[in-house]
Amino acid sequence: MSSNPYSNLPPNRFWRSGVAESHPLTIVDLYKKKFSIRQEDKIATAGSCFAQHLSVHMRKRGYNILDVEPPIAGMSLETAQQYGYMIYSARYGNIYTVRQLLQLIQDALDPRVRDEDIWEKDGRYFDGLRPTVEPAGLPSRDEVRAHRLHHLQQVKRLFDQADIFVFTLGLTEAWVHRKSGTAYPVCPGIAAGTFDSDLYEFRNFEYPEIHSDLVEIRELLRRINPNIRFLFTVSPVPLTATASNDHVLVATTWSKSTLRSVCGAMAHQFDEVDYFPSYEIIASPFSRGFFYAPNLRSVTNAGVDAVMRVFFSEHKLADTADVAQQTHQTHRPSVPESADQDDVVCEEKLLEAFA
Amino acid sequence: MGGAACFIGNSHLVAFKLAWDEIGRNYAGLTIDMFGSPMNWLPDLEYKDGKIVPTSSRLEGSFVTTSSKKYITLDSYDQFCLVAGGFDVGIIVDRLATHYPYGCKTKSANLVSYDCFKTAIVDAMHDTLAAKIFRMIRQGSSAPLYLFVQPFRGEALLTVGHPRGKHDYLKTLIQNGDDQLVLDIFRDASAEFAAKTGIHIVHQPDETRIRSILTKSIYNEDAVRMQPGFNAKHKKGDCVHTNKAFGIIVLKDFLETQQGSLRPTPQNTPAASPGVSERRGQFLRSVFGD
Repeated sequence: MSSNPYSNLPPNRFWRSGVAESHPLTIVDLYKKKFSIRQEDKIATAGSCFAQHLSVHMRKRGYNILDVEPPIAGMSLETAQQYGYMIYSARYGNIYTVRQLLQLIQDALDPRVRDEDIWEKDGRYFDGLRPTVEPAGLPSRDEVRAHRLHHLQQVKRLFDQADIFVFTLGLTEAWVHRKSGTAYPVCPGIAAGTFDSDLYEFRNFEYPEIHSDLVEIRELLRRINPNIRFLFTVSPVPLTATASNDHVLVATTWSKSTLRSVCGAMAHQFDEVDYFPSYEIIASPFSRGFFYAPNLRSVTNAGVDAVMRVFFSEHKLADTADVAQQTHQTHRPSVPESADQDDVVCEEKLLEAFA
Repeated sequence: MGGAACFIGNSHLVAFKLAWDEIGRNYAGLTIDMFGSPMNWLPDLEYKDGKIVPTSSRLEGSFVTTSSKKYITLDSYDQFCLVAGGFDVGIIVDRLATHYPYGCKTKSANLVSYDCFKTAIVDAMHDTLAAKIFRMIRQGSSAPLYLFVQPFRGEALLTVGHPRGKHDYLKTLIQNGDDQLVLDIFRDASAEFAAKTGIHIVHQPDETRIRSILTKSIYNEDAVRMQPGFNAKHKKGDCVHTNKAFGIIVLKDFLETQQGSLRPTPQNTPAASPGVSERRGQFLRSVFGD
């Protein structure tokens, strides 16, 4: 047989040997890191709900996950997470869309609070850009403004020092303020605020603008921190609901494939950008749906474990146990590693109430 | 059985013991056993077959010194009172050094909401030794539980200070005018803790306080150490421990409050837990008469 470009490829380049004949729990060579993460590297994390798993597991293994807004000493884990602590590197809550992330970075670099981003509910006031971090809201607009400005200072501090930024892209759909274009993590009127179609509109961000936003994020962050590297993932958690005119399954595929595609382009385009395929591990036919809970949306512990196994097979520290011991901070409540998708903090799940 | 109360506490219990030695004769029918030990020994306790038992000889020895008993037999008592046990405004002061609620004039590194801060304090209260001992008691008794908060630091700290700067942040808070805020947080968090646990919180009487969260100096003078004989005084300038006069005010206040609000009558006897209310009735009748 004459030689051709496929004749000498390794088994993992063929669907049959690479996927169909592999067991989802033992798959190898799915991911090759573009750069190493050293123990001393300072890591910032953000993203949609699924991103919380990577953050928790990396911290447990001794990675230096930054936390610029640490919990109050002695807080229980439940209280801490209820108030937005210990979920990511700062109290920004879930950042579902790339536009949200871009806004956050822009606001952190040029601190500002827009009046329209302060939402009211039953006489209490909420930060519309992270409406669930104060479950009962705050007593005044001024206080929301003060908290937001403080938060933005911490976010700036986070990116000043981060060596690696791990971001999980979650959604393409968002509700935005018509006039300012501000994208919110949840539709106004759900966690707080009031929905008004004259003020807010639905947006389903498409490839060009998501890619452009991500390129701008990269540029902004490299401007304040020239050596920062990026690790992107796409959340495998399907949409809870869609505001598009499509079936939610079609909308999910559209959303995830767009995000996946942007990540791929970014990783090809830039040396300091890596893509980790957590989406493929959970959502592709290869996993045969094993890693979804009966609601076909939540990712099971086994799924999270499978993702972590692949990730840590490439990114491992020299002596994980010792490192984890050394970096353990006694005042911090510990997050159980076995947390499944129902244990993560997820505003998007609020939409289930309308199903 | 007559009325019997069990007091458990750390070094702050001494003021109560001396007070009871003096005023106890006015409360015929009421017996109080006081089980005390230094704070760092008090965690050596476990629940065992209806008893709270010391797991170390040093704590057992201290119990014998203070109560003549080696352990606490839970069904011997109609109510349990815990003195201090880490339930202290210091829980708040320590955390204000890292997180400050909006409105706090003394700014530390992290701004938080009042709700968030208060909730964190409630969590910390659940983690105090006092709360742990009460949970132990609840394994073998449904009698009412009272928690006497640790006396506020003495006003002398404003002038004397601590050689290792132990009270510096508290001092700063007071000097910046944040004392009322600290008291508000303490009261609000205590109320939430009480609502969640069913423990009655006994706050420090107003007449003994100054600058909201300090104890008047006269109540720190000649405070006595928890040592056999109860005659060794704390060092001059000690602004942590209180004296017999303080104990008398707190105990009298407590007993009078009970007389006013808790005396079981057909109108206010709790419907639930008839066993407990009947026992509480016996206790109160023994103290105040019918």
